[in-house]
Amino acid sequence: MKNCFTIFLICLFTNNSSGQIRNFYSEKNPEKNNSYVVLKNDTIFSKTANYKKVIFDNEQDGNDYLKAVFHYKNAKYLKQWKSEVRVYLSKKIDKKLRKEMVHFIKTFPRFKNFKVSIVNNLEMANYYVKGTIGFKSIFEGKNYSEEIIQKSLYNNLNYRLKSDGNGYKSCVLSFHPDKIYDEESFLKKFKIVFFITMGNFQQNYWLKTNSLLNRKVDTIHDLTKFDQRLLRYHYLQLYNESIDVQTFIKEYADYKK
Amino acid sequence: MLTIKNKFALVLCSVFVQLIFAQNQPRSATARYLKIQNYKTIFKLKSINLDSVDHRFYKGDTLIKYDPKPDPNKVLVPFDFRDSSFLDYYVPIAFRLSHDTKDSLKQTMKYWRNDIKIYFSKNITRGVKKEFESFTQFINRNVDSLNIEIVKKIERSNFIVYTSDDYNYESQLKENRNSGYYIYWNRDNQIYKGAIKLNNDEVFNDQLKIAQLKVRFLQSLGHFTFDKRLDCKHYFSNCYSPNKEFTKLDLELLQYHYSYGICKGISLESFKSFHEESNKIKDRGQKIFITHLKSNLRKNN
Repeated sequence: MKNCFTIFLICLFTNNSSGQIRNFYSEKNPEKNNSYVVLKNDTIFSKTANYKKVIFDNEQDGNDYLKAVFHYKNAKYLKQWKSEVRVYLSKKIDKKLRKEMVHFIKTFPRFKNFKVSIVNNLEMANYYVKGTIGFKSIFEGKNYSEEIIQKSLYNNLNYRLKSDGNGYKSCVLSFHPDKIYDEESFLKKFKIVFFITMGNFQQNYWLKTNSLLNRKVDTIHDLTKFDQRLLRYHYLQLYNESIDVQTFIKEYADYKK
Repeated sequence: MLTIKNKFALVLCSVFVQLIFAQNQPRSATARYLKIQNYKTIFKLKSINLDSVDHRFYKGDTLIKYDPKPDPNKVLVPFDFRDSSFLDYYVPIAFRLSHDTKDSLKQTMKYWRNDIKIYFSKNITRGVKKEFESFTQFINRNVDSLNIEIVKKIERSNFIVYTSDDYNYESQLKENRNSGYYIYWNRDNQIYKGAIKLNNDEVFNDQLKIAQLKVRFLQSLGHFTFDKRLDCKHYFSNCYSPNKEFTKLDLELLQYHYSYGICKGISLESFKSFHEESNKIKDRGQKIFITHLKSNLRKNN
């Protein structure tokens, strides 16, 4: 009980109401509405954000965008990078492979709210492509056939995307540099996984368009036109709040008429 | 992922009433009265015989005369009134509200009662320390009743910042693959110990570490939850931004949490009833004060 008397609320009843609590706005204050927060020193703060509609080039783009962004349960909300993606590739990566990776990363389009760049210093990066002998496959200790393991994107690739709310802040994409037995196949998987991490995009069978995310098409090795448009739609604006598919369709989606 | 030891505390706040008689005279005589419920709480009485005490009925309340000797160890601080639009943000952040359920009224606010003394493990770089120190100095300069210092000896600390490559100072964070914080609080909801672990696999350079450290530390100052309604640039926003800044709203939320003008460590239920009560009092043109022990007012006093 030693702290019980440290705090008392005391009311002094007086007749003189002047000079009591300064800067207090009553509920009847006409200036007040839901767009503002009244702070102690009369500061008002706007809390509304104006978002544009995402105008899809055509209906198919719109449908495929929804499939790529919201398709699976683990993609309930739209997620975005909130800053330029600055990629550092570890020195342990084979020179030829590294060159291919750099080439692919440089094909990414740049928009006002989305940029990918390569940096030479880990200190500057927020995306770390890491070849490490400490790589642990997601299949380790699990009973899957060799065919499934080899087919999977993640037999020698793994990533950890870290976010706060709906915004990504860092990513580590790792693999075992000594376990790349088919470089072409590995590179293709790398490209898909790298693209996925640009917005928690979903690889699936139901896309109608050619895309790195289209599981039905096995011949795509680079960003397609749709993939570039997908990034443009996705990064038209940065959203503060978490947006689910219903909200997106209702509030943000539209098609070119 | 956050994992926090959950302990609840009870801090007693009581309402005193001071009536002024002889209003038209040049010098007014005053007498203090206490609401009957508060009087019973303070003196631990189950019932009161009104015939034996000086009492009055005032606007629906029964008031009992309260005439304690002036206590030189206590000071009065004006009650910190805030607009409902501000409290609309403060309450969910400080009381960790996610759903407006009945249980949420039992949620309590947590605060540091003593100085925070931070020890950095050996793998925290000079750059991270320096940047973080200027962040804590900003808080020190702007927030009453909160004092943060960096110490060089672990024995002097009550808060440890370490990385996944260091000795695991906080066992509760041992299994945590992500960066995170862990704090302990007592029955009075006073936080007395804490730790932040930075996972090097996740925050792999100083810039990421600094950003993570600032956010988690701010969170650990009151076991705050972040608000998804706020723009990402705010520290109290549940949304990542590489360019967080201490906005006026952020600062005011923290200042209010550590203000001497509110009751600390209380439940949401108490907080709400105090505000309802204080608004009524304010609307009647009356003043409200909080008494504190002088020894509690460490800064700026």
